[in-house]
Amino acid sequence: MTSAFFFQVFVNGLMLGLTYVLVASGFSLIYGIMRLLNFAHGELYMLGAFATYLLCESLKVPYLISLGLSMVLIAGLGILVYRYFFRPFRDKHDPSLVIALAIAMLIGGLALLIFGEKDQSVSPVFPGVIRIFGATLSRERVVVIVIAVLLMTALTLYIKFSKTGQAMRAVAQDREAAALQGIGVDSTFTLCMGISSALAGAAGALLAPLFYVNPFLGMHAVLKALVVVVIGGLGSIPGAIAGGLLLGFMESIGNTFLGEATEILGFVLVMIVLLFRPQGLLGHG
Amino acid sequence: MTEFRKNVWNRMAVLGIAFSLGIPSFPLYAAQKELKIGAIFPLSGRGATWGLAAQKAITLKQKEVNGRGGLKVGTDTYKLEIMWEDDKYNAASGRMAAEKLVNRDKVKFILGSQSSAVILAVQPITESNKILFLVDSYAKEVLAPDKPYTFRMVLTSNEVLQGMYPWMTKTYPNMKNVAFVEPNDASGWSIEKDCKRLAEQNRFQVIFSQFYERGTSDFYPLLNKLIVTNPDFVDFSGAPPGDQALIAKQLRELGYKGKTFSSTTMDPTEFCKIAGAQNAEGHISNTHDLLGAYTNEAQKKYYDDYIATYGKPFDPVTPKYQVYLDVLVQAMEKSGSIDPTQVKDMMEKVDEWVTIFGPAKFGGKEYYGIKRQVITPVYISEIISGKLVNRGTMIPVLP
Repeated sequence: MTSAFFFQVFVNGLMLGLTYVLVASGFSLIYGIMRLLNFAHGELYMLGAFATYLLCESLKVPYLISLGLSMVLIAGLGILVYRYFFRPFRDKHDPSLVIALAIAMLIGGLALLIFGEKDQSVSPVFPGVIRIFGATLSRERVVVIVIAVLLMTALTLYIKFSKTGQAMRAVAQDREAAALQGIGVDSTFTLCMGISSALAGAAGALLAPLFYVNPFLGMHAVLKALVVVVIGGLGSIPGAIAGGLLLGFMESIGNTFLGEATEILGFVLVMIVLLFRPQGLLGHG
Repeated sequence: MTEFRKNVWNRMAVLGIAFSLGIPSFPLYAAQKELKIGAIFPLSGRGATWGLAAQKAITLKQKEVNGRGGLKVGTDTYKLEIMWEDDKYNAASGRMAAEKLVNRDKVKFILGSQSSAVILAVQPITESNKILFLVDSYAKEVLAPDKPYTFRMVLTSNEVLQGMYPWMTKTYPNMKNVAFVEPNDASGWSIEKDCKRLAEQNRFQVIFSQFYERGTSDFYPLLNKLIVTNPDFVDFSGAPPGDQALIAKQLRELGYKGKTFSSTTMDPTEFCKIAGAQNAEGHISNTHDLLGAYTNEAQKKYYDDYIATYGKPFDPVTPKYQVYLDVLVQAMEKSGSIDPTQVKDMMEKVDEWVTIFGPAKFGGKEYYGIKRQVITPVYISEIISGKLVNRGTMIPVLP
């Protein structure tokens, strides 16, 4: 095995990790601010992929515009879901979990009815491959890596420095105190749901040309997101990034040296984290 | 005459006319009975691709039979009614569906799932109630001497590879080794076992074999390891159609130059769209190109009926499921009975059935311990410039 082989293992891990980060960051954001495990997040990811598919393939909209439009559309849908389904159960933990699961099943079922069971695909947007230090990577993957890094940087900066981002953090820390300071909790939640859904839409749109699109994508995505955020820390964006990358690298290395046993590595890691640091690697106690 | 009496006379007249019109038509109506046939398939969930394909093909055959006046058994004519149930590719749902079909709907025939887990869960009900169960799934244990009411209507990887691997040996004499990538579940394990055994029987050395979890879409980590072994061809027969296309695409992206191979049927348009036509080039599969070189009248008719009913594009995954109802209808007509035991005996007895793929028979006495596996010709095709090209046909030899 050459150094090019190991560099390929590294690049594969980075790509896999960023895929997980893309899906998990929105999931984590919602939990961090709203204390809601949004199991419908995976379905929003799936709809983001379908939105891009329809825009690119049926309406012939250029890919990058489709990416932006998918984010806007899914953000809008997420806000509607919040307004009509989550808001009535805002402070009720158990009913909101059940509602999230019900919405996931509803969206999944409707998608199957509307789009059919077949795998669809977005035509290659950036065809061809590039070679870096002997490792091979398709151009599409390079685009995903670049946009994912940009999105994560923008999200981190937004939450840290913008006024509304700071309001989100305030609501996350102490909802009542934030309300007393004049921060609109409901509008913050709406915004949070919009951003989180936009991230799910972006993930779906970015990964659609790489893989395929079908109504069953959501459940697998949300399970991976759950593993990532438990490792990284529920509600922590840096935690989602760390957890996603860690899982990606572990799976890439595991596939190389352990074969099919790799799939349980994520769960083993979750157990270790829960035993020694229950709040996750970068989560708060 | 009062208004009340007028109304009574009017109503009696209407009833009299209706009754007199009804009497001569009554015997005609009575001759057309209804035969309920259960169908348990994955119509939602991850197996829906196959379940819905089966539903399309079976519905076409049902329409054809009902369109020609119904199923003629002795002096009776039956209109076929298919009672569809969704097993969601899940054993518990399949078992519940079977309970409902047998106990409530009183069906005597069930067309079954593509999931081995579902079939194994349903068989205790069908066998104990002597219900004829026509199935499709790859697990070997689905057919056994103590399950005489179960017939497999679709070729498994075992039979298909009995046709395809000798063809590969003959067509590509320089190929020496093979790598396998299969899903990590009962179906994938069963297929990989068949593939390994038959590859070795046909002088191919197995140099790599790894399973992946269903739901995986990024195969780079697995394929990176595979490519180092430099196989002459990669077989991913157990992977669902979308995964097959993704594996082919990612293999090429990583620089793989050998052949890609699958013993299953796939939709070439869908495959090329996901993989990219360039990456799909040379992919070998067991797909029947109904409008290709092997077209017979029955295949052409199936194609035309499909387009007339469902519109374009044609789904080449569907034809193999037509055999289910086709053979069952022939067996009922030949036996002159709708009693499952008599139909079963007829299916066992007849040496040649007429199907759209040509003559078919049941075999497997030695391999499965019971003659319950359908044997139809195996079609071998290759993707050339984004189109499916027929490359050969083989009759599997099943002891």
